[in-house]
Order: sequence, then C-alpha cells, then structure tokens
Amino acid sequence: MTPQQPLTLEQLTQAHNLAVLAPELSLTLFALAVLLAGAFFPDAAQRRLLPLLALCGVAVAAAGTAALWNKNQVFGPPDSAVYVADNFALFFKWIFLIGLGVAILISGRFLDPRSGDSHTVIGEYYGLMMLSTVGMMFVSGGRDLLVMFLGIETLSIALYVLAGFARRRLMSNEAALKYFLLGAFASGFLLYGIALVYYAVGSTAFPQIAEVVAGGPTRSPQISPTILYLGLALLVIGLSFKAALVPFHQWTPDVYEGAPTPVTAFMAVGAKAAAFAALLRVLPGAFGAVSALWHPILLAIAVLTMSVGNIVAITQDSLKRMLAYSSVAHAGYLLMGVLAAASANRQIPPQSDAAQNATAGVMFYLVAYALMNMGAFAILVYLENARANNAVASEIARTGSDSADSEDANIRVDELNGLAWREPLAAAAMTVFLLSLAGIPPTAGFFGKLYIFREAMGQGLLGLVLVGVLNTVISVYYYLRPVVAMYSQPSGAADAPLVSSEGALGAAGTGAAGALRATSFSLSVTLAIVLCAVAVIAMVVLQAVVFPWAHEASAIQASSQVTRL
Amino acid sequence: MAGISVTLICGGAAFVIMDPSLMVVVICHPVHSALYLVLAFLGVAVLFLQLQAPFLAAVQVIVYAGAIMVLFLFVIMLLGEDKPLPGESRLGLQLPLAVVFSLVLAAQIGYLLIRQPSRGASVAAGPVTVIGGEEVAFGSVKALGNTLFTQYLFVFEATSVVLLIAMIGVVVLAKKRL
Amino acid sequence: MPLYLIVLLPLLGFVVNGLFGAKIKKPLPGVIASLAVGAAFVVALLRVLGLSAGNSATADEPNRIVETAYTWMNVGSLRVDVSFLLDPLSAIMILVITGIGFLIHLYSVGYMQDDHNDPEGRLYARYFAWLNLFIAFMSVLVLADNYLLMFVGWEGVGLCSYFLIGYWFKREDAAEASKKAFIVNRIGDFGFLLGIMLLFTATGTLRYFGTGDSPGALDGMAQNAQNFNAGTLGMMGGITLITLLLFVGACGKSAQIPLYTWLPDAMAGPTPVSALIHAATMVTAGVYMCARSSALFEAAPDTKLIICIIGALTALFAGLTALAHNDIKKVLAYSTVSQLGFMFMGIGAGAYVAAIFHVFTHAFFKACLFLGAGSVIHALHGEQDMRKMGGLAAKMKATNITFLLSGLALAGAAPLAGFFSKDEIIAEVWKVQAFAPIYQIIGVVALVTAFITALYTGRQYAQVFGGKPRDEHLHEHAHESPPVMTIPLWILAAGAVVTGFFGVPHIPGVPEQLHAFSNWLSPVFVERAGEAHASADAAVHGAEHPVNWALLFLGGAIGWAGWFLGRAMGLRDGARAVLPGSTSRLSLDALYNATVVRFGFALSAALRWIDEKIVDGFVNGVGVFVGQVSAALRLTQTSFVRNYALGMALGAAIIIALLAVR
Repeated sequence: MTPQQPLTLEQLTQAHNLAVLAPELSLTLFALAVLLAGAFFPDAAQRRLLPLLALCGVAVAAAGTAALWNKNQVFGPPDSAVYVADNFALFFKWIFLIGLGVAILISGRFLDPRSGDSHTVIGEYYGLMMLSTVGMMFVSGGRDLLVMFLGIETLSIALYVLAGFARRRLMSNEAALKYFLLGAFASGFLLYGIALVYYAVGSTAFPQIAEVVAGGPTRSPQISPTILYLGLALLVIGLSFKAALVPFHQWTPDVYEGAPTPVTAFMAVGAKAAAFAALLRVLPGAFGAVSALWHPILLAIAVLTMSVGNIVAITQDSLKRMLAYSSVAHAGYLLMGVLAAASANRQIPPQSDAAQNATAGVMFYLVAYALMNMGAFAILVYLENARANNAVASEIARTGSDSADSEDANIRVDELNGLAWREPLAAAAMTVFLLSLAGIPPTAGFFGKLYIFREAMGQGLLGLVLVGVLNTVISVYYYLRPVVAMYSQPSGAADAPLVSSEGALGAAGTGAAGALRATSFSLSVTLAIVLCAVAVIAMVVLQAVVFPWAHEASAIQASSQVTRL
Repeated sequence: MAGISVTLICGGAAFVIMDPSLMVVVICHPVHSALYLVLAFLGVAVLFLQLQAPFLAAVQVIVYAGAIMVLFLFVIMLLGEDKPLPGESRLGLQLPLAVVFSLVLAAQIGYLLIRQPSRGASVAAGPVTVIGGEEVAFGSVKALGNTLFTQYLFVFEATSVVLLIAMIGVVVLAKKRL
Repeated sequence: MPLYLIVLLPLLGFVVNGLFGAKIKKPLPGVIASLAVGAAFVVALLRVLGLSAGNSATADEPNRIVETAYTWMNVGSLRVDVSFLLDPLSAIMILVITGIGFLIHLYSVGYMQDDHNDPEGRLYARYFAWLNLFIAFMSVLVLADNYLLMFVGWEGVGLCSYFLIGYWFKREDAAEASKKAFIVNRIGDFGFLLGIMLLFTATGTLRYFGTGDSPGALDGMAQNAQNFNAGTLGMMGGITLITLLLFVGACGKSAQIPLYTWLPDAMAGPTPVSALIHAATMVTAGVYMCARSSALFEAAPDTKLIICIIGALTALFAGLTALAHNDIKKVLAYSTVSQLGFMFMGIGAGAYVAAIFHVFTHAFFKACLFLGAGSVIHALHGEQDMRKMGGLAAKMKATNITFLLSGLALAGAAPLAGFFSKDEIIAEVWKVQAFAPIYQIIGVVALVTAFITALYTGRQYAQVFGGKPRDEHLHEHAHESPPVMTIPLWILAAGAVVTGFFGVPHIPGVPEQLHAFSNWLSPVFVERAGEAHASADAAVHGAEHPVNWALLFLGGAIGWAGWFLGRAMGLRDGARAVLPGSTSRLSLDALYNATVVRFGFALSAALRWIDEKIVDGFVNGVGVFVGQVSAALRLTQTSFVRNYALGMALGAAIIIALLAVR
C-alpha cells in the first residue's frame, strides 16, 4: 500500500471533471425534470408530453455517451479514480439506453386513465425508470466494488418500486415484495463479500485487487487466502442473483410475470446487462488470476442456467413466464462468453486477443438480446393493450360504466391462435423476435450465439459448447410454439379474440372500437416493435459495425485492468 | 493480553448484535422488534469503537439508534399497530431446513474465518493516513472526510440518487389516494 | 453480369410478393415469381457459359471465379466476405436450382390456381414469396465461397422449408410436420455449425479456397492432414471429428438415418414444394456440402466408411419402407430418402463426381415424378391414396407418359438417366480399396436396393395409371392438367431421358463427349486417396472395364426386371382391391405370392412399424422426457419467497463449499 498523497483543492477540482459524467448527469437532470413536470402539470393532455421529455433525456444521454467514446476519461485522480468512462462502460450505457428508450415507448398505457390510478404518478414512473438506468450506468463505469454495489442498489431499489407499480394488481404487489425481500438477501451476500475482499486485499478498487490477487493472493501472508475465496464466493452469489443465474433464479419468473410488462422488459434487459457488466469487471478482470478456482464453478452454473431455463420454459403456458425462463437461459449463454474470456486469459501466454473477442462477444450478445427481448415484450404489451381495450369496450357496451380490470391474467400461448390472420404484421414481427431468440440466422440472435460459441470453442470448452448447442435445440421447441400458434387456425369464435379483426397495428382509430384506442400509445408501441424488428433483421449488416465497437470497448476493458505478474 | 481483551470485546459485541437481530425477526410484536433493533445498533457502535472509529460509533448511535429508530417507533405507535402480528404457522419443512442451511452457512463462514493464521493481529493498529504532513488516525473525522471527499467523492454524491429513489418509491407505493 | 444477381433477383421477387402480393390479382404473383427465377436462370446460364468458355483448368490454376459483394464481418482474426464462387460444381448446382426451380414455379402457377385449402386465395402470394426466398437462400448456399455464408443459406432454406411445409397451416398435420422438420433439422444444423467452428479453430479461416498467400480451409488439406490432426487442434483424429460433425449436418438436411423422419412427414406441404425442396434441391444440399468439402473427407477415411454404411442402410431401409406405403407422395418421399442414401454411398466411396451426377439426374426425374403425382392429385381433387386410383393412363396422357419415363429413370432401366448415375455409384463403391470387404458388401446392398427401387416404382406406376379404375367416381372427374403444368412435366421428362448420356461410364469405344459430366467436374475434387490418375493409367483401366461391363448389364437387367415385377405387383394389388382373389389362379402369381410377397411385405411392414413406432417413438420420447423433467423442475417454483430464500441459501452453501472450503 502506497501512502496516499494529499491533493490540493485545485487538483481535486480538476481531477473531478463533470464532463465525464455527462450521460449520468443528463439522465438524472431529465429525470428530475420529468418528476417535477409530472407534479406540476396534472392535466392529462400535458402529461402526454412526459414520455417525450424522457425520450429527450435518453437522446441527450446517448449523445453524451457518444461524445465520450474513445476518450477513456476517468472521474477523479487518474491513478485512484473509482469511476471511469472507458469504452467498456460507454458501450454498456448504450445498451441500457436502448432498453430504457424502448421501455419508455411501450409504457404508454400508463398514460391511460383507464389503467388504474397509476396514470397520476406517471412522472414518477418515468423518473424511476431513468434513475434506475443511472444506477446501471454506475455499475458499468465503476472501477471499484463500492461503486458497483452502489450502482446495483440504485438500479434495484428503483426496480423494486417499478415492479409494484400496478398497485391495484395483487400480482404486481407480490412481485415487488418478493423482489425486494430476495434482493435484500442477495445484497447481504454481496456486501459481506466486498467486506471480506477488502480485508484480504486491502482495497476495493479493481486494479489493486487484480494486482494483489495475482501476486498474493492476499495483501499479507498472515491473511489466509481462504478469506479472499470466501469473499469471492459471496460476490459470485450476489451477482448471480442479479443476473438471475441458477440456482439464484427462482425469483425471476414470479417477478417478471407480476411486474407490469414494460417494467419486465426493462428489467430483463437493463438489470441483466448491468449484472454482466459487473461480472465481466469482477471475474475475468479483478479475479482473473485465480480463475482456476472459480472457473469450474461458473461452468457448472452456466450449464445449469442454460438447461434449467430452457427445459422449464417448455412447459410454460403463459407467454410472459416463458420469456422469463428464456431470459434465464440467455444468461447461461452469456456466462459462456465470460468463461471463454477467463480461459483465454489463463492460457500461457495469455491470449489477450481471444479474451477480448470473447468479451466483445458477450457485449454484442447483450445488444442483440436487448433488441430481440425488448421487441418480444413490446409485442406482449401490444397484445395486452389490445385485449384491455376490447375488454373495456365490451364492458362499456354492457354496463355503461368503465371498471374493467383486465390486466389480471397473462397472455397464454394458445391465445395467439390465428393471430397471423388478424394481425399479420404483429405476427410477423413476433416471429422475427422468436427466431432471433432461438438463434436462427440471419437474425441478430444468431450472430450473438455465433460469436460466443466460437470463442468458447476456441478455448477448448467443447463440453460447454455442446451443452449450449443442445440447449439451443431444446429452445427452438418452445420458441416455435407461439409461431405455430400464430400461424394456425383461430380456435373458434367462442374464444374472445385477443385483437379484434379491425387490426390495431398501424391502423388505429377506425370505427367505434378504434376510437377507444388511445392512439398516442398504440402508435408508440408500434414504433417500438418496428424499430426492434428492423434492428434485429438489419443486424445482418449492422453487426459489421456493432461488433467492432464491442471489440474496441472490450480492448480498453482488458488493458485497464489486468496488470498481472 | 491485549489480544484476549480484543477477542472478548469483539465476541461480546457480536453477540449483542446477533441475538437482538434474531429477535427482531422472530418476535411478533412490532414495538419489541424495533427496540431489539436499537440494541443491535448499539452493538454495532461498540464494534466501531473497538475498531478505533469513534466518529462512526457516534454516528451509529445518534443517527441510527437515535433518530431513525425513534422515527420507526413513532410510526408504529401512530399506526396503532402495537399489538402482536399474527404468526405464520404452516411452515412445514421450511423451518428445519432453514435452520440447517443457516447453520451450514454459519459453520462454513466460521470455519473459514478461524482458519486464518493470526487473527486480530492486523487490526490491532489501524493504518495511518498522512494529510498535509500530519499523521491522522484511521477512524478520525479528518481521515474519514479525506477519504469520503477525495477518493470516494463519486460514491458520496451518487448516494443522493439512491436516497431520491427511495423517497419517490415510498410516496408511490404508500400513498393511499393518488 | 455479377453473380449476386442470381441471389438478388429471387429476393426481389420475394420482397415484391411479400409486400404487395396481397393486393395483386391471382395469377400475377405467380408470374412475377416465375419471371424472377427465370431471369436468375438466364444470368446463371450466361455466367456458366462464360465459365466453360474460359475452361482451361489445370491442377495449378483451377477454373473458378470469386466475386466479393460485400465485406460482412472483419473482426480480429475473423474476416468473412459475402462473396460468391462459381466453379464447375456450383455451376451445376445453380443451374439445377434455378432451372428446375423455374419449371416448378411455372407448374405452381397452375397447381395453386384453385387451392381447395385456401378458397379465398389469401395465401397465394405468400406461397410464391416463400418459394422465391427459398431459391434465393438456396443460391446463397451453393454459391457461397465460405462456410459461414453457406450456413446462412443452409438455415435460410430450412426456414423456407418450415414455412412451406406448414403452408396449409389450417391442417393439423402440416403444422406438426413443419415443426418436426425444423427441429430435426436444427439438430443437424448445430452439428454442422460445430464442425464449421472446429474447422475455423483448426485452420483459422472459413473460406474454401485461399487467395494469394492466405490459404483457404480446404487448400492442401490432403497433404497436411497429419499435422492438422495432432498439431493445430490439439487432439487426435481432429479431422475425423470435423468431418463427422459436418456429416451430422448433412444427415439432418439430406434426411439420412437417424435424422430422416422429418422428410416423409414433410409431404404435408403442397406438392410442388415437395418436388422443389424435398426432392430436387434442398435435400441434396448435404450431398453438395460433402462434395464441396471433398478435401476434408478424403483426409478422413474412417468418416467416409461411416458415411457409406449410413448411406447404404438408409437406401435399403427407405426403399423397403416405400414398398409398404400406399400414399402416392409418401412412396416418393421414401424413394427420395433412399436415393439420397445412394448419393451418400457415392460420397462415402470418394466418388464425388458420381454423387453429384446422381444429384443432377435425380433432380430431373424425381421432380418430374412429384409433379406428375401432383398432377394426379390435382386431377383427383386431393386424393392421395393409390388404392383408389388406377386406370388413369387413358385419361391423363401427358402425365402418364412423363410419369412412365421418369419412373423408368428412377428404376434404373437402361438407358435412362437413373441407370447411368446409379450404376456409376455402385461401380465406384466396388472399386474402393481401403476397407474393401466392407465396401463390397455395401455394393451388394446397393444392387439389392436398386432392385427394390425398381420394384416400388413399377408398383406405383401400375397402381396409379395401369389396370382398371378402382374408384369410378374419382375416375370420372379426373382430367388432364392445363398446359402450364404439363409443359414443365415434358421438359423434366426429357431431362430424365437424356441427362444420363452426359455421364456414360469410361468404357473403351465410348466417344469423349459422353463423359462431359466427369470431365467438367472432376478437376474440382481431390483425387481419391491412394489412387493415381485412374483414367490415365492404362493398367487400372484395363482391369476395370470387365467389371464395368458386367455392372452395366447387371444394372440394366435389374432395372427392367424390377420394373416389370413391380408392375405386376401393382396391377395385382390393384385388381385385388376390386376383385379379391381373382388373380390367384395364375401359378406364377402363386409362386410370387409365396416367396417374394410374403417375405418382402413382412419385412417392409416390419420396417414401417420400426419407422413409425421406434424411430419416431424415440424422437417423441426424448420430447416427452424433456417435458417431464420440465414439469418436475416446475415443482420447485412454489411461489413462496421463503422457499426461494431457502434455495438461495442452499446454492450459497454449495458455492462456498466448492470455492472456498477446500
């Protein structure tokens, strides 16, 4: 431990360059603006502008992120800064912003006075989502366990609240409480792990940890390495919970199912990406030197995560629950990339190029995952909206009052029967998303799997790749179920159609039923679906741009951390 | 001799933390729960003192055991919920399994902590920070402020976001009529 | 004209029909689609003519054209271009795909005109859109100059096949069959993908052939297979593993044991789809891929033996199963599986020219048979049971004659196309020197299978066209199909007659022009291991030709004999369906009944049972098993927070135990 050199106030001010925090600060400021606007403009018409304001925040933050690209700046004194804006962090910020942007687009139903009382706290809804994204950014940029922990808490606390946002639905309340209780439990593990690591290493900063662990593995021979390993195990447990890895995944289906669908989408993409940013920084980064120790365990976790996620997804009838398990399974594929990166670093001599490729593979996969998952959830929101509108319409027609609470049940797979007839575009888009999730070329999901499997294969993780491949075959089964349902015959007129025959996608507002559809939100959902679908398909071409970005980003990540003996 | 007394104080404080913490969860009476929590906070303060961090110990007592817990008690009293909550009876296998797993976890962690060669030795003297040419003790206000406002300035500021989220969340979830 | 036009034109057709198809009146989407494929055929033909004009192929300077359309990914060590390769092998494939594809598009215009499954015609444009997309992906598959691009085409055709099998999605069997086809294919595809990735790991490139100083994945493979095995991949038998994985992919796509179950079910799709995708083009992609990778397979003799055995088993098994089926399309489907088995026998024997030659001739006669069957089904308003047919020869002249010609070609009756191509494969299997005894047994199996092929083809022809009508009502309404359907039939039947003469065996006295096929194709492939220039070596040549002559005669005799025996079977079965026992007076028939029929039918019925109960049962059983595991795991999802916390504690204890307590 080098003694700390005191800094003058001037030096300190210079070192803490606020421009480095441009994405976080702008998003926070816009979140505050949205909150205040929501409080001071109670008028429903004015509230409709709130999502626009939020989207402006997303745009400004994205621009800020772009401006910092390749600058590799830090917030604080260069050698001891706990927060950095390297390309790794910036790339992840883009992923979070994709998630946030699409989530805002598909959240329009909260604007609808008929969707319960939540429309009056619409400012808080968007504000919390944006602040949660700020927390995710903290995680991606943190070069210190404390920042990582703080970021995880920031994003989680906001998500606990968001999960319970549909206050009139029991399932939503239940989801919030479950997520909070188990999340707090996991945070306990995480914090205890951080404390033990600090004791064993004498620092919470990743570069110092990497240095000490590579040399020691603890700061003094008097401290047994088991303390460090215990800390590492607790860290792994805490992060596994956030990334929903088996056996810490059990909250996922319940919380995903109970939370309002746009929140579920946001959670599935943002929180997972943040957890993997942390995993990448902690495991192959700070603890790369002892990867022989944690590698087999995470290998087992990856195998379990893929298998359990995919196998249980097969028997799900609720579409949302199926997507929840699918997201568990995707975490397993992502973990495969993390393992490949660690293996590459472990080779003698370290294959930093292969490690970089593997890290980039994980990051690219997350982009693809964000797009296709957001798209699939957007379709779900679209269908829920349509069903709710139908229910409201029939309710008004019957009783003349407006008290339909139609969001109680989740959409079942067999309810999709014949959707292709009524909603050809929605069905086509859903097909694209599901095929991409299954990893069929030439969609985005295929390239994600290709990059990760290729690197894992290159590191000789043949068994792991085989399990991954088997799982992909299994997953095709349940991803095809909705496709088959959509393109099969409608199951008789007795079933209440999910979407009336007029077809809302792209053609809202015709006739009496159409008038009930608040066009502003169905348009924004349609926009989200179209954007995601186009991006998923266009990834054939775009990946030639995106993957090199991920590659550049992972280069900074690799070099800024691993200073090994 | 110093080593033994350190161990004794540590162990005592740990017991004062753990026993009330368990009671907070087990007991069904909210006011009693809150009071046990005060006890646990006090135990933590003792630990801080023993680790030569008097400022943190004072903060622990004043802010947590004092201000926050008093607020808790006020809220509980105001709500008029000072009668026992109905306990969950049908736990089935949950209770024995929970006890077993907790004991296993505790045994593992305890075993790992005990296995280290020389316990207590390295915490006897806290590291010394040099600020402006003057040596400052590890737990002092000066050292704490220095760490908080130089290296961890970002963390300090970012905490405000967490607090803001918590406030908004409470309003959204708890307000009866929106 | 650039090569990418061949891909782009059908893609354009897909986009037009996909976007505006619903708004165009009925035959027009079909016309647009046909024109797109026709134009692609013209481009392909012009380019191939250009290729053959510049044909001065030597071993050092092979006759190939590579055109890069777009650099797809260029990251670190991985660079993949969207670039297209035209060499004699891909030339033949692309001509077959666009040419026969065009004819089948044309035929579809008539066939889909009044679709009783879709009376409003809402799906008409969608059908042609998918068909065009299929042609585009198939062109990508064969024109690709690297494995990754080939894989994209590979998956793309699988996707189109999925949608086209399930085209009549109101039909339960179609929806199920499409899903089955897709999932079974995925198993193969992932074997293929693993193989590709291993190959990349070993060679560092995915291009087939190198340019300049950077070698391709296939260059010089035969020479450095040894250090490839031990050195680069770090494991023994690396090349065997890679080739086996590639073959798993081929198994899925080309319906070989054990991944063949999807193809007979795939007949739930429209008949032109069966003709195009499940007979002429897509299912031969596996054969193409193996032939393309000949350099790898030549370095892995063990894999070749396995391929040959699996091909022979598939051919025999599917041929026998075809005998027991009465559905006109199912018989053809099993026949396709069987013929694909023949092609893989060729691959396994290292006879890539013969395998591709059989792909080529098979495309003509099998497409013609399917389209003929389609014409019959069309005429009989969707009836597919051969037991209700019969006596159609008089009513449907064009269909009858074309079906007869292509049926004879499939039967291997001399001197039609199938005779030459099948004989060539059998002869090549006989000639293999490594593992010679096994290969000779396979050769015998192949001869038996050839006989069975003739048997079921003759039976089918007789049941459908010969004898007396068995269902007067159906027969009365039967009519010949419109010219837009019969013209493709005539063209394909002509192909079934003449294409064989491009590949007459190397027997002294045969003019050089009649070996055009092998002269054109053989420079593409690596020499068979341990065999010097066979055609140039006089001694080998001399020793060879008695065998060739013998096989030629044997093959021709088997073809005709099987055909007539099968025809007798078909007529008798047909007659019995109307008048039970009427023909049993004939003594020949009694003999035949006692021997061939009893045994043959018992065997094929048993095989059909195995096929339906065991193989299908196994495939379904795996699904059921996974489902049960899933249901069991679901039980842990109690929805009680405390139980979840318990699970977390258990997981934490295990992780701490594994990671720290040691």
